[in-house]
Amino acid sequence: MKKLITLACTLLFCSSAVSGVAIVVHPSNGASMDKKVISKIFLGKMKKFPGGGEAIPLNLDSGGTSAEFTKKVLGKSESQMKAYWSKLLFTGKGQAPKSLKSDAEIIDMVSKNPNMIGYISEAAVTDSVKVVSKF
Amino acid sequence: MKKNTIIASLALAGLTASAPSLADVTFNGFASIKAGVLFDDVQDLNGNGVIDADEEILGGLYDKDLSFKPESVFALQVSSDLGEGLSVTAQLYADGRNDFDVEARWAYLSYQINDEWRVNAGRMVLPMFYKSESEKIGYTVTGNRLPRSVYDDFNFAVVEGIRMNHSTELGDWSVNSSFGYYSWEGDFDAFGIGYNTKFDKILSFSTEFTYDWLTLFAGAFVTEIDFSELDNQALFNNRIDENGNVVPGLNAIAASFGVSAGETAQLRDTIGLSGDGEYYYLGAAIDYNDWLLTAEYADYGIKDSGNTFSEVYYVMAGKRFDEYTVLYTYEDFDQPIDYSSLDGFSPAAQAIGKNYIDVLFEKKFKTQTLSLRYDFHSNAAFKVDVFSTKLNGLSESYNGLSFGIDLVY
Repeated sequence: MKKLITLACTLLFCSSAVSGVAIVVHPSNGASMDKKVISKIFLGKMKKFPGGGEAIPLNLDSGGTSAEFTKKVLGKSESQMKAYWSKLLFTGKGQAPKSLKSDAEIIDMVSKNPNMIGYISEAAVTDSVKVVSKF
Repeated sequence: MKKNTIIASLALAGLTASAPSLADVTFNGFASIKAGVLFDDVQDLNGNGVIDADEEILGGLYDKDLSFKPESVFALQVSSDLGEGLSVTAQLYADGRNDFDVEARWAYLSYQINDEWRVNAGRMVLPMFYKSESEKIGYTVTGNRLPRSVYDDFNFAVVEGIRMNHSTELGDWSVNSSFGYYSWEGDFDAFGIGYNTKFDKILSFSTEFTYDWLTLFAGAFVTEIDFSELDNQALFNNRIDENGNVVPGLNAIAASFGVSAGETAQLRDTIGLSGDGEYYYLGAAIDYNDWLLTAEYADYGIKDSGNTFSEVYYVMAGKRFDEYTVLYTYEDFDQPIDYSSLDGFSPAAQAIGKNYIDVLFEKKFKTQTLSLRYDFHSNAAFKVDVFSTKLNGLSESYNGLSFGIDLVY
């Protein structure tokens, strides 16, 4: 019983502390994307949206939302991602998505470019971008 | 001279092309600060007065005095995006093993032809084995170093040439391959003297298939290896040692046993180091629910030479616990002696050939390593490992410890 109470408290705490991650694109982007596609785009394995059109992913600098996205969508820790991109960067095979400082910067870039895709805290979503998925 | 010209051209290309827009130039780098020590004295097992390669532990990196030098590394990469898929990159690299002399480990032009193909031309690291290209980037390695049985610090690792990188998706699998044509020229040390050596027509292929948690990989390269300077001057002709004494070469030794000059020349073609090099590797890596398993097997050597094929492998198993990772590695290096190339020679020539192969090439060891990694910072990891090596035919082990920090920036 005591364990159950502890678990319930933990879950409550988690849900109130984390608002979730929203994957956002330009409002004109009609592509439907599941977790697998989003993961491939952010790992540099897929360079086009499912319906065509160049896909340019944008990262958020290290922090809560970035860690949550990396864990929930890519299934890795931030250290693992750092190692993944370091290996590609220093061997001439690719480079990590550009990283921006804030949700607002992601929204600004994505709202101006139909090729861009980013992730922001769910609470920061505005009408100028389209949410394609939430985690 | 040739290398300098390439680097200068690339640097110039980078400068002239990026001059109008400095914002397109990016700087990144990696570094390792590491120390290690052996708890046991390395022994001159065959009593010839020197520690031979087959008597070294961890390739001779450490001894009983704690040293911060051999595995400390600094690298700075400068890259300029010239637009429309073209970029130029130079990676300046220095490590303690080479007294921190700065070299351009990578210096290349890169062009993204389309979504699947990218071509790189210039100076690059040869994808000799699965992780050879990233071998020196400590942060990408779980423990303090990749297994020495496979990643043996080959001095022809950095080559000049052209490489096509291909990446595609096959269903749920990502497939990344590279096709390259390179050459290498440099010095191989023997008896304290560097001898000019060439690896020509290096044809290389590597591929990896990745499905979420599973990666399967394989690769190979072939090359024409010219060790004629070392073969002639260090092994077959007489040479002068560091004390000024004449050391008879195999030509003189063979003549004293009545082997004809013709047969001695044939012996040189058979057991000399020059020949066709062949290098192969394959393996698999699993990263599932924070459980890690990697196994790699490699087989390589020089055909028509006394340098018989080496059969090497390692198996790594580990587990991540949030920011901590524990990893156990078992590795085995074996260069079995093969005298079959001497069949058909006269008994005297065979005896000389066998002695030569025994002295230069028999090498076997097994190493076990237990590593702990702690990702204490988003750009840095602290690692400590203990290792234990058994050399061929010895029951006792050589033990040691190393620790350090790897970072990327």
